[in-house]
Amino acid sequence: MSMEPPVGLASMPVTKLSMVMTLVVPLVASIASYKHLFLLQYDPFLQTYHQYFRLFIFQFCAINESDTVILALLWYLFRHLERLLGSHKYLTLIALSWMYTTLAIWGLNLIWNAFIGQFTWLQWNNFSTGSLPIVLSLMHFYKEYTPQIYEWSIRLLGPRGGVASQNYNKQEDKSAVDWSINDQFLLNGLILLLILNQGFAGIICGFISWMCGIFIDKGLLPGLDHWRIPFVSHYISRGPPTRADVAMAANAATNTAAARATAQAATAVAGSSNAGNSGPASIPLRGSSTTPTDSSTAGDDEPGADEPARPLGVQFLDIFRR
Amino acid sequence: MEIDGNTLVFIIVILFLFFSTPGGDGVSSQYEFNQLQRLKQQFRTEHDAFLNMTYTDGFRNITGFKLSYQDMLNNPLQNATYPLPGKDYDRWFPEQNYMILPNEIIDSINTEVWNTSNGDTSNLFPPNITSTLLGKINLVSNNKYEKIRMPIPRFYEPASDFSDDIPPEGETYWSERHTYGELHNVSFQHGEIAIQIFHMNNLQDNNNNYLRRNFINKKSDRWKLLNLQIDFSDKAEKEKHSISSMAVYDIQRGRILSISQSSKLHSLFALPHYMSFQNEYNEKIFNEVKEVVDEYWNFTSYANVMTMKDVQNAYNNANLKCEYMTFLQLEPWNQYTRDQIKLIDDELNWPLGRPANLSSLPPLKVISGLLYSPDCGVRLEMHDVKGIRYELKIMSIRRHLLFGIALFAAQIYLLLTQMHHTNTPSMVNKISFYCFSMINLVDGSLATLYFVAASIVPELYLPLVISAFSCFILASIFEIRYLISIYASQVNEQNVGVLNLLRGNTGAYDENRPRPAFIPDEGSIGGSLYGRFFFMLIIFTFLLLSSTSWPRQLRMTFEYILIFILNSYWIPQIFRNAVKGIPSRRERTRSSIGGNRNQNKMPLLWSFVVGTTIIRSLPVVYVFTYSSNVFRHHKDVHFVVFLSLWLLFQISILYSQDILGSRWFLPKHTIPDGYSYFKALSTEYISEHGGGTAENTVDCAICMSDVPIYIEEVPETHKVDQHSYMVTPCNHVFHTPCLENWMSYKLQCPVCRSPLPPL
Repeated sequence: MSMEPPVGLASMPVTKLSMVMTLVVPLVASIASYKHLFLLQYDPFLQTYHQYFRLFIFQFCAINESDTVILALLWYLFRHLERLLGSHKYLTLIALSWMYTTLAIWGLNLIWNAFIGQFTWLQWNNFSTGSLPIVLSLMHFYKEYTPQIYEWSIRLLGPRGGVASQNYNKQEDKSAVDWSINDQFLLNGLILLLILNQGFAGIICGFISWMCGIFIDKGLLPGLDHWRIPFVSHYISRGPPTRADVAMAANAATNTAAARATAQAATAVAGSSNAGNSGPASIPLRGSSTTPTDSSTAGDDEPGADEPARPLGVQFLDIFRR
Repeated sequence: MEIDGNTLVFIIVILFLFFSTPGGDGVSSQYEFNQLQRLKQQFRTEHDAFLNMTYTDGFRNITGFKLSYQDMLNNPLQNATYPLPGKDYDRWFPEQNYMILPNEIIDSINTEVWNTSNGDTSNLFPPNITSTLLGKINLVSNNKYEKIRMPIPRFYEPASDFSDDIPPEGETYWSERHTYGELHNVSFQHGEIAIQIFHMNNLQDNNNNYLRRNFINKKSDRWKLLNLQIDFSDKAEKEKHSISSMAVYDIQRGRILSISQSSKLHSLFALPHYMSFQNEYNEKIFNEVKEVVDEYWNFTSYANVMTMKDVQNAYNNANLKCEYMTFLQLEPWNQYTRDQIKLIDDELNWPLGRPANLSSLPPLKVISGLLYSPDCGVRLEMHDVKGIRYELKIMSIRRHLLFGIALFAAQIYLLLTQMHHTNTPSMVNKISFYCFSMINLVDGSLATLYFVAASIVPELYLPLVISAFSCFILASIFEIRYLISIYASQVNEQNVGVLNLLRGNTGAYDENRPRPAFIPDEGSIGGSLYGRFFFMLIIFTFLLLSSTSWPRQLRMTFEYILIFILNSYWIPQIFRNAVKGIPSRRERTRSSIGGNRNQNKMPLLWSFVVGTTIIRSLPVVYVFTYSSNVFRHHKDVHFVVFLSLWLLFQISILYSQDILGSRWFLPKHTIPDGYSYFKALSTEYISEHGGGTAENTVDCAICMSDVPIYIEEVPETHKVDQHSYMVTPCNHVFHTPCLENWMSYKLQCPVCRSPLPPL
């Protein structure tokens, strides 16, 4: 895996979907004034009104705008996971996390309130909002499987430049504080903010969800090893480019047409062999010069062949360029 | 702009006028200060009297209540003075000896209006009734009852000259002035009434601004103070009356009492007596209402915060309007329990998804109501007055707005596909400028109306702004952008008559014809079009806004004509098609084999035509056929059917132009021959213009290679296909693909820049 993460979401359909959902659902809900449906509390919604549908939708919309933004940023950082696992497996992981965290939080809440929460002031009433549980569950995978790339340390000296400034020996300064910070500090900071933003409920739900993530990873909560969400592979077939894809794309660009044919055959084979495990291998990098699909082979008698296909986004932009 | 001395002085004068307006209480002279002091003094005196009033006490020196109905019967010319000789001020009974209502009215209020729950309070009424109620109003009589003389104190009158410092003493009566005709009477028999009810919950405490507590009276479970805005008029809206007044709402019994207030009637101090003239609990009711009114007085520090605006309003209302007493009885909500009503109220106030079935919430309904004007002797009664809660109404409007946003999005998408379809100047040239101007005008003015509405209705700010935004993007970015390219592609034709255009030609090549001195680029066209767009927009929006206040007849005529004109947007395109002469579909398929396939398409996509028609007619159909629509628009199915047929007719003409060729309805002899780029040349041409390298060829200025041409006199050139080269009106020859390619960018001759007729 290259050290440089790909910029943008061009080949990351699941990350794109998550980010769009995180941003669009709160926006639409607030325009339509239905945001209150995403609020989950034990009393009165579950206990008195029996509105159990709230359990299944509360992760789709954060009530606070700040939570919405933090979650969108976190989903963007998690695009490494999609790159690592493949889109299909990543989507399955998200779905499993959603299901297990919802069930775990709900079940533990019921147990707590049945035994300990008899007293009003001990009742566990508030839940987190937004996809905090899913994100915390994914965080385990991120920490476990994403390598740390670099780190640096911040050295905070004591008052007035520390004792060392007089001693000319900074190494022996006992009052200086060393902070080692690695490249994941942005993620850590965002997670911390997200949890603290939601207070006590955020801490509880976050911890439970993190445990869920560990259990999913260890196989204690089954599903990730042998099961994939059915029927969606067509929509997310353009997964992130893997190392094999990049190699093949480079190969295809340098070789002749005959070599290109074999490479495509290899892609097909690789795709069918990968399908079970890490999602179908995708077509090579889009937009790069190494793409083997040759537009010049398209027939000239086809209408509109002389100008490239213009998707809607390009049309929008072209309107202002003209 | 250069700022010289004169401009500076002018600006300073304008600024001075802006900043020198009176602030605070609006007092701008010694005279007005004295006026305001007199008013405050009068209210304070009356409030002191009010505090000492008991249920068995009569009104003494309270403005408007000095005379009772019996006093007027005894002496119709009795002046309102205090104390009246021989009048009994120490007792008070609910009858015409002591009230300004005749006994007949009092009886009918007791038996017909406020008869739902007298002694028992088992009926349940909603505590929060913010809403707009609509219904019918009938005149019972306007000449039967004696008019009570209510004088206007003269200190309200504006100063007669600048040296006046002291407002005049004394009082005037209407009879001493000229009459105002229907202003002081109701002359129609049947009309419509709208009652807007607001709660006085959001009053700010004027004493200490930094605390900003809301007004909650101590008995808010039983009594609420309301603001009532009552408007009634006849069906044709020729005679309009409007009353704005404070009201007391008795939640236990569902009764609302409202008495208008002006400089001739200080109704604030009469609310307790008139609320309690009915049953055996009357003394209790009197004391409670008195407490509520006094609480309100203290909370707002009523007299202290009066401004010149109050003085002027009170004076105007006294002069121009009758005083009205309104007695309303609400329908009880006995199908709910007290807890359910509280749940519904909470959910409406602060939606959380509580299990309150809001969609089945019954409307607020006035089962009986009576309006009586003591000083005009007019009695009116209302029926079928009902309306849904304000919050429900807002929810319903929000749903409509969301649907509208979806329509805008669909329209933007359709427009983009249409713009993509016509991406060459030759194609854009066939589109009618006026067709899209009309569409653009409607969208632009909708955007402005949404912006205006967003500042008026704060509850709907978000959806309204989103609507305005999407509408504005559609109108001022995409549509204007498209209009600019249409305009730019048609600049050539500006000085050309329709007949010439029918010939498919921007005029035969003629040295004498005045050609546009310069062809403006899209930037300058854009500037002028944007200017025109915003100008039209402002004019049109002002016209629309002002038309809402016109009398009904005029307004409806205007509305129908306007909707008809604005829904004729395909007519200009039909004419444009006829002018440009698009061949029939069969001919187009035939000619597309030979090349120039893109040039002969119909300019408008069918998905765009049908989609736009549906998107634009849906709101009109909704407003005209759905009788309880949110705009309170009347129902008129005939007009909608007519309009749909009209639109269908336009579309069918467009379709027939597609099938049969765009000029099928024109007689053959009226169609002149169009310009043909494909023709044979003579040897003269070669000798005049010089040939190419080979014999019987000329140079193509685009690809710089030879063009074999068909020369009539030379038989060996007759093998050359005449469609392989093109001759422009200015006699320049190019390869067909070369010139066609060029013409999809610009309709100008590449050699001499004279305009070219589009293909």
